[in-house]
Amino acid sequence: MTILDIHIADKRHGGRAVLGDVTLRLRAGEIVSLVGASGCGKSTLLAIAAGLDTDYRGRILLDGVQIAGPVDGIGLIFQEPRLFPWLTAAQNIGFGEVPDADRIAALLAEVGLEGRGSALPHRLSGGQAQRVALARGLYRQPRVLLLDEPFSAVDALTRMQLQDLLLRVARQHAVTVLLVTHDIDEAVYVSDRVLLLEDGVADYPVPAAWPRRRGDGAAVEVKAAILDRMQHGGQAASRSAQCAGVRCG
Amino acid sequence: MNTRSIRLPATLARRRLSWPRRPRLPLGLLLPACVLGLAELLVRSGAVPANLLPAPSQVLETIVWLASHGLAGHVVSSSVRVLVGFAAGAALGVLLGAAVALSRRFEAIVDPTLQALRAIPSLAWVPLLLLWFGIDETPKIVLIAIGAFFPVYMGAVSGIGGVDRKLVEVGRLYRLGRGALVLRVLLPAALPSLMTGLRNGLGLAWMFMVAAELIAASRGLGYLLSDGRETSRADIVLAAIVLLAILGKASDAAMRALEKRWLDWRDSFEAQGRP
Repeated sequence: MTILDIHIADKRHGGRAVLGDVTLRLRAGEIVSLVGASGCGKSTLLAIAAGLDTDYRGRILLDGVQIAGPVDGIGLIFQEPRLFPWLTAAQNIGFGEVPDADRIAALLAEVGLEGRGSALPHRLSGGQAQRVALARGLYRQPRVLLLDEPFSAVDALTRMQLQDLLLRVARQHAVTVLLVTHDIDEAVYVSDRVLLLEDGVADYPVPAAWPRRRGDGAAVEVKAAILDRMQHGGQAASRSAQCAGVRCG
Repeated sequence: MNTRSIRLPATLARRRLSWPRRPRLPLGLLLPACVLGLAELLVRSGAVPANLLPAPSQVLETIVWLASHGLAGHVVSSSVRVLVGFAAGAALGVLLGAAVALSRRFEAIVDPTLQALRAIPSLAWVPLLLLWFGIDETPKIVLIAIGAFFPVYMGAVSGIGGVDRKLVEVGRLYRLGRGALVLRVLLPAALPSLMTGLRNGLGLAWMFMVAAELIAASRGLGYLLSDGRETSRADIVLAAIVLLAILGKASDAAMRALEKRWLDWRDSFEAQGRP
């Protein structure tokens, strides 16, 4: 069942076309990654889907209902944690809502920060701050969680831990995830499907089983197909794409 | 290649971990103590005539004498005027500063006029305020409020205007209304700049208070200054100056304490412990 239906007919920045005729649909409970070359409009698409950018032609449907701005049902986690520096970790998680101390404590424990609720953001490491941001995103119990390259600024080990954390909390909270990333390894590890944004959207299902192993053979094949298409374009890579079961739209 | 860990001497290792903190009070008193000691010497030796520069010991005696002759009333009058004028000016500064920072149109209408008014010296306001409000408390309070207004206004405009766009975006994501966005995101984020404006505004409030009291007052430290000049009592003039310095420093210290308390979330150079 489609939970989020995004169609962007035209999006411009200062007269320059950034996105045109892009359609993608997320099914309830799936984790989808969106990859593409730098500047192809991934973050713009996410801002539109979150309701932060309304200056475009097209429509965003959440559960079949058109949205025209930020809504509780869609959460967004940014590239940087964007925590309010004057609020503690717990206050950041409960920001904008009626704070429920028990739920905040439970979320802190879930993201591995038990007992750190009173810490100010500058006392947290980059990875810890991003965990708080993830907890904040989940606090409003969104149906869809959008993530804009959330792990790009942390070291490799922390990134792997955060990827596993994302998988765990996404399943536990039954939240649908759209992850924008430039890391193809990350995309094929965490996703049910990888979408390549490039003159439309190419859809790469990742057939590897859950729980997934890093470097799984099926995931590696999908990664190779995506990289091939990114390097050589749609036609040249059509054969490897067919091998990986690609659907282009 | 062999590698060896080098063990630092314990004292050096400690120094690397944290800056040594020196007590501030004795250092801060060093310069005034030297100046007062030198002045005492110069006056007692006759190098400087005592009627122009009374010895610090004589100024202290004058303060003690004034204490039993209505000094508290003067201090309270001046302090209340500063407090009320500063509160009014600062509140207006925050409100107008926030409005200007939030609306380009409002900025275009209001800011050029305010910048022109900012350039007017404090004494230029006095005749007009006396004409408008007479010689009661009102013109003094208004003058002090004018003095406090501009630094706070500037602090609010630059502080709110400089708030990280990304934090505002988070506020929008949470569907905060305009008022909530100001109270929950913009003002807290602008607080460092706002506090600098408030401290500067308080300092100017004391200066404008003296200007107001010099011209039309029967109580207050400004009045004491004027009275000392008219009766050729340099010791009274200096006593009033010393009291103004003490009160100004005390109010700034109170503001600094508030600043430290409200901005303890900052990961700043000062919070880390300056050398």
